[in-house]
Amino acid sequence: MQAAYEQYRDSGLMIIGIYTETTENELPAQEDLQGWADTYGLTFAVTADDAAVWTRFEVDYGIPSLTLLGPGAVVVAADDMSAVSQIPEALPD
Amino acid sequence: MGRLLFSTCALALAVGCAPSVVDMPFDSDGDGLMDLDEQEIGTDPFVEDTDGDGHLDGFEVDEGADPLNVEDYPYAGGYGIDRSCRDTLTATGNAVGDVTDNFSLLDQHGDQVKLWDFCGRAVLLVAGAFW
Repeated sequence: MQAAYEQYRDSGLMIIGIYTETTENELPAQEDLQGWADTYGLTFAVTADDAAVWTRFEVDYGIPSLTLLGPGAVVVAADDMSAVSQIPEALPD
Repeated sequence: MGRLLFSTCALALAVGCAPSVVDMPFDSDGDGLMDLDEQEIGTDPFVEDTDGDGHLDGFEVDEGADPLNVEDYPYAGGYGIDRSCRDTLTATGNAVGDVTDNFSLLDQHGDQVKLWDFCGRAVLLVAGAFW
């Protein structure tokens, strides 16, 4: 995902990592998020899902799960692991 | 290009100190915005952080944030806000073709990331866990 972010960021892509739990099955705290981002060199947003956001897209196969939005927060692909390949078409003009 | 905005009383110890504008570029408070630009935006040319959210007015403008709204500030992650359509959106659902609702989640820098702050961009949501 970091590679996709670096490739498309300047063309209009934002990535939000939504993390549901730590290895202790707890909601990640900020230090957990920072540690994860630092460990894997992630510069996109790494967030803690305290609002069950990931469930809104009727995820069928559990996590990881990818959902792609186009401009205007329009859902382009929901719970679709091929979403990365659809990024070029979803970018703003 | 901005112009110098200064207080006449500050310069001459005069009374009745209405701010004045003269034609020369100047950034009185050093916040990265010229005084004339601050007049046009509505920020205070003598206060570097007009809304008091901890970010310089010029930095907020550069990052696409509103320097007049304390709840609206740039992200420490430098994600590149594009909220040009934020106030026009209405959530319709979560299926393909729908406008999905806004959310606000804590990020690794301690900021609350709001989805619709990026409504002018494509957004990839990656759900995962620290396993």
